[in-house]
Amino acid sequence: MRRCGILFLLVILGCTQSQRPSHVIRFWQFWSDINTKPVIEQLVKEFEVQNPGIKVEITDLTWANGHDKLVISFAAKDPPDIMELGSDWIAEFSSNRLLAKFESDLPDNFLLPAMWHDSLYALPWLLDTRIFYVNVDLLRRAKTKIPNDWPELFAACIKVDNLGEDYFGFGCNSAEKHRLYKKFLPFLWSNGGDVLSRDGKVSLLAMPEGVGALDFYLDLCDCGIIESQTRIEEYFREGKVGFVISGGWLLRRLKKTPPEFQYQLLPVFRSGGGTGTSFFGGEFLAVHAGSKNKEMAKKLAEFLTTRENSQRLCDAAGFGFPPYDSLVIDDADKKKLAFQLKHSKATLPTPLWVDIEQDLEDAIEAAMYKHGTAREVLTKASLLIDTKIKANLNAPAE
Amino acid sequence: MRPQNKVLLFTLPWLVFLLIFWMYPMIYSFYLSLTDFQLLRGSGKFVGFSNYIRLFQDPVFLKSLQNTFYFVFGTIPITTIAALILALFIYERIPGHRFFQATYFIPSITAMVVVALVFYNLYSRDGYIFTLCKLAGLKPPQNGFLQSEDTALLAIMAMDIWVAIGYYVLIFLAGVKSIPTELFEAAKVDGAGFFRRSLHITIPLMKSTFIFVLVLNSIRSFQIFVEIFVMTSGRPFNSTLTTVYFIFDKGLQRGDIGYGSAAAYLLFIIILIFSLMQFRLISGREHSK
Repeated sequence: MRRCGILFLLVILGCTQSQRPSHVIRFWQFWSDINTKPVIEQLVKEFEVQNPGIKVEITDLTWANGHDKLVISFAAKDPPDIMELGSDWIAEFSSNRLLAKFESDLPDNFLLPAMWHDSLYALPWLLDTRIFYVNVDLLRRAKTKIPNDWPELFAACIKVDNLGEDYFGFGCNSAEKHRLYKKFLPFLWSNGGDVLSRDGKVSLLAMPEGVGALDFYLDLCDCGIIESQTRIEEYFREGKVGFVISGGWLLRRLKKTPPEFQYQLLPVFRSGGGTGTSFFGGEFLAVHAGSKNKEMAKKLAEFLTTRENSQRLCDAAGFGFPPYDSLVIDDADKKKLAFQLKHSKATLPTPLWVDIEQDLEDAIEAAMYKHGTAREVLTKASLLIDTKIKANLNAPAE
Repeated sequence: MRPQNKVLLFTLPWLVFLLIFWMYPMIYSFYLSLTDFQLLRGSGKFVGFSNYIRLFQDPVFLKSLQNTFYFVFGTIPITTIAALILALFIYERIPGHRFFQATYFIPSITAMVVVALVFYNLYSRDGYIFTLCKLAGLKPPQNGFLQSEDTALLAIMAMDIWVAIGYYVLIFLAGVKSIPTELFEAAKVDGAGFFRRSLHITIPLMKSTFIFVLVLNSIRSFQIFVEIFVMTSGRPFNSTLTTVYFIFDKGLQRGDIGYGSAAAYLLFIIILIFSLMQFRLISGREHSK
């Protein structure tokens, strides 16, 4: 009896041993809501079936502290094998040689945020852009038409703002970190300006194009409401705001509003009219350069970023586009977003972006709160950015 | 086993915990404050006290210190006095004391994140507080209390006072109850009313409770973070930036852990000096009596 028991135990242990995966890949990602998490889990399950012996452990991050957790995990020398990164974060990690290199034949424009010294360090997974959302009903009540250039936009905002104290021409972002600059960049780029020179060595913010863009943004804020992105979008859905700049996620929410609510998507335009340039960002997948499971983690990244699998994520999220050209889109509003995505660009990849972004947002904020003119605040920001770039260029290589 | 060894044995788990999770990080963070350690780079060289010198030249850090002191000196007196009055109300069973007894602790046991989110909405342009101000004929800030440089920190301070009072009421109540009842009875026989009893018996006999509340309240106020993190992230224009948020931003968000550690140590020294001053002040008065 005792021998039988031992034999049974050995058989059980043997079975358990054979089922234990030979490789465990740790995957940190941000999709944790009830729509997207099941899709992520399903995709991972399919990957595991296709690759026996590999087990993927998913850890959810939040946008509030995900970046910090990733940084700490690298500092603790225990980062995940594969991780989702916001497009603006990649250079910070790749410049410290923490990410593995990839190769891809995806459109160059979509790969730009993941490039560093001519190498690719992450694969785009889902991309989204920023576009104007217009409350058509408010414009009708204000007896104004859909604008085509900046003076028309400003005039329309004033008229909507004059409808009453509960109505606002423009939804102006309050100084929210990582968000404010994304609302300003479409104006900057559409006015021919830029944050940095092409080689990333000089700040161009204080050029006349930059000053003009900020002056116009401030004019819009003066006939609008200054609030957080979330609340601006709430106000827009409540029919209180004439114009907001937002991403595809707002469209998903607007589809749920009553049909009486008349809105329209309007691609960003240049100051004198004509198609402008908006901001695009998105989610990228990167692999830790020192991972023991580097090749398998890269395989998972490639699997998740195929056209079909990216599309599944976009469908579940209700916004965003796979990083591929020639997408088949039926919805008229989504077509406008796709058009805007084609006329969008990402910020120049630089390890200093987190600092540059803060200097830019501080400048916009200072001007919004009347601590200086657009020229003064942007000149100050440019000096700060130039100093940081010089210090970084002069820093000895590790 | 000798009694001393027994004591050591029983306190050993706590001592080990203290050394690993308390003393070691404290010493290590002091070492980090003397380096230019970057989190992502994973290394740093010794820079002496240059991080500390940099702090005193950094207008953002100085602004964060100013905001923190403003917060500490603005909230502590109100919180302490209001908590003491409420505690005396409850102890003296003044009409309505049951209402306070039932409600005063609710804000203290509610998660700060939840409270901050609720108040974020209350302070917004279409929130109740904004609407109430308008109904009362006041002129609230155009974009809500948290979007104005003049009112953002005050709004957070008001919320913090509301949250903190309950906890200190509990401490004061415990302090009052430790005073021998004979003293109150004797005072009552002599014809002393509520105010005279409070002024001549309760308050003088609660010196240690006062020290405890003041020190605790000061440390808590100097370390304010969650409210700022949830409601404003130090904005608008650094008007709500506190020192702990500055440390978090520099140390963790930007990975400049050496600089962040230096700021943390400076705050530690400020809290230490402040607490010692409170001890001295209250003990000194006692001695002079």
